[in-house]
Amino acid sequence: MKKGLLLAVTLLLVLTLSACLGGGGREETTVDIPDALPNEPIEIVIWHAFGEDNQALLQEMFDSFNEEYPQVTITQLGQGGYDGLRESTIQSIVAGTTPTIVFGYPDHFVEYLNGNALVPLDEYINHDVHGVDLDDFVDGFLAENQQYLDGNQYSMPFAKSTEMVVYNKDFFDAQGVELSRTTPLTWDEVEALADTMVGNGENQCDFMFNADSSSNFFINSSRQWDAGYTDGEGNILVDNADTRDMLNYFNGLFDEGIMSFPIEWDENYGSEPFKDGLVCMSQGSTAGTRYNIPDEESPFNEMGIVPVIQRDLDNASVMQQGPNVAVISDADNNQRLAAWLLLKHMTNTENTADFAMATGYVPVRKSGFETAEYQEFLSIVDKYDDEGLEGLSPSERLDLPFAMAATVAFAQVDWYQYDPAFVGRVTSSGARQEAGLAFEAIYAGTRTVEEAIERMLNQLGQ
Amino acid sequence: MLEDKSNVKAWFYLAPALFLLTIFIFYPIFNALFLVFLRDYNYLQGTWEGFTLFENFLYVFRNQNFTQALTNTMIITFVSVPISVIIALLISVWLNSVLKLRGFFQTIFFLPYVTNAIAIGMAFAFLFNQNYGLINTMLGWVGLNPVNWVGLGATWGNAMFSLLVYVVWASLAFKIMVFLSGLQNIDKQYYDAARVDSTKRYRIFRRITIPLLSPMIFYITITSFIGAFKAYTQVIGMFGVRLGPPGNDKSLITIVALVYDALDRSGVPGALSEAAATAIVLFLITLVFTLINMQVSKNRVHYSGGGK
Repeated sequence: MKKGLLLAVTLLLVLTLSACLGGGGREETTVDIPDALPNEPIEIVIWHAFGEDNQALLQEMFDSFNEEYPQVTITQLGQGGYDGLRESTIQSIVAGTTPTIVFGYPDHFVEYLNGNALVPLDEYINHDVHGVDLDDFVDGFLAENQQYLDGNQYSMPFAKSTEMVVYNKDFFDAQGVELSRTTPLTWDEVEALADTMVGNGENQCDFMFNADSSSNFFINSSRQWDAGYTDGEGNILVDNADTRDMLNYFNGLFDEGIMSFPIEWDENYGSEPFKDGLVCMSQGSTAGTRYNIPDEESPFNEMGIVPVIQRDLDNASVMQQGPNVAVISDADNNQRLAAWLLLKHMTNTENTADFAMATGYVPVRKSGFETAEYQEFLSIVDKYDDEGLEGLSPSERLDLPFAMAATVAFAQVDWYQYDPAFVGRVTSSGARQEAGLAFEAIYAGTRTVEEAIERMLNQLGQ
Repeated sequence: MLEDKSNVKAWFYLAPALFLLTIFIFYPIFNALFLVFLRDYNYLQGTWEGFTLFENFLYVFRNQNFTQALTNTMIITFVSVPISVIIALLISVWLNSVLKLRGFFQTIFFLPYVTNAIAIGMAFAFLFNQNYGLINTMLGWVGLNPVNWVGLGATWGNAMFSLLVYVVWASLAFKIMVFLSGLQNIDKQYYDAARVDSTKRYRIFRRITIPLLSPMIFYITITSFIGAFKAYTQVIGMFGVRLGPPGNDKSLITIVALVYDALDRSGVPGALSEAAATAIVLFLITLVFTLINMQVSKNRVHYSGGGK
């Protein structure tokens, strides 16, 4: 009898808790934009994955926003890395404790859209009073944020970066090779350079080239080879002759010791091997420029930066990356408007230029590249070309790597591409991961090109 | 009447524990069971597209990594548990016979238990490093070539061997502690009597130590099997999220890693049900082997006579 009672009470508790499973679903997000922000306290919470330095830069933007809208209280909270940010946001959507603004990638945003958790921004963008001119945004950055299958725009570009190639300038100078910051090298040219630059001698490296991200390298090379990768529907398009051709080509470079990935040195990035002079050129994000600057122990003093290597300059392609921003739908209409106005403020011409100069990211607006301050920042590179390091002031020397990265990023602006975000049993982030693993397995010699493609397709349920 | 009163009191005292158990144990178990039968459960919305009996299990079995995960889990379990139980038993018997510095040795052997598993895993990855690891250095002393245990493109066999060494080593501490406490509870009279009869040490070990320690051995074997089936932290500790050597990623994936892999896609409809189904499959595998273990041990465990 007692046991029965205990069982019944326990079952009741369990069933009551289980009712939490079925939330009844979230309704489609409707947009109703107030004409003006009311003069009453409005709270905005922002979740991102930035460290202390970038948080301080954001705070400056919030402070200037508060000068115009003192009624808005803004709180920013770092959520660790981007995986942590995504996980926290998903849990907050389930628990109903969401922030107002969330940073992230379209991969993340399409997941949040499964919970109708994002506000479509189109009506804000086109609003007579609060709208913004999208024509001023860099096309490639904008396209990434306009890719959602229902045709709405759910996010805005904020801290964007692109891939670039740092090179050991001292070694190249010693070989009498001068590289251009605006015209990319082709793979044929890199192979030719490797003939003299790879080796154990003076001013030579163990490897000619390293790519930090094997995933990015797979995706971008697929574009350069006109091979498929994925589409917005989640189809994996790598089972074709062009992909095989591309992978076989790089497999040849692996065998010749021309090309490497950071796993060669048990590293996540190639910056340390680059600084140690083990690899002559390293492809990575412009946002990671600072990590490649040679230090006291480096066997060289100066690094240079050039655009991403291309197969064919008529079919150039470059990865763009870096987080975008979206507004969460749990916010009320005033919070949403305040959030939108803040996004506008954070991405205005001055702020996007200032943020870019301080971080190594690139401006998201074309006008950001054209501000006097930004042009002056870029002019450090010209001064360096004319007068060398000796001609630069100490602060200009510190800014030089970032100015070079910015120059290269601008030179590549027409080649920015993004990979489609999708979410189903197979996700775009899963496809990215498998693409990178396929390349690394070929590099390590644990799989042939054919086996790597087959495994990638199997892993992605194709 | 008096019994009723004490029953009420007992329930009252048990209430906090029952309440917490309900929330943190019964509810999650029930939830996992419930999730398994939902089709395309959308975690973000709390909605699902009807019910299904086997669909989520089919996703588990069709997962390209399931066979590999099952194989790895079985190998980790059926190799590491017997080896670690035997080694722990031998070390305990030796420790029990040591008169000098016993406390010191006990502390040494117990240290892994209070050390972070990830940190130990990293240390073992270092020990097995191809270029500067201690293992290859020692191989060099006897004229053997260095082996690529865990480095770029290391084979599954080498990586699994390294992992097993780590798993066995890390699991010794708790077993030694339990065996040692069991050994110290065995009445000395049995040993004195054996000594009077000039019984050989091996015979004493087989006829006195093992039978009187059998409840502890049984307990340790069962809990070790259950723990080994849940192997995951050890793989992460040694190989990181790659779950294998660089260039041979996921080659050491385990069933629990499949659960986390599905949970990592929690925003995708159906992913939580897939995670729950994987957990249920692991539970059933563990249950079957535990029952077999209990059946096999039935007539071999000697419950009386240990202690005074």
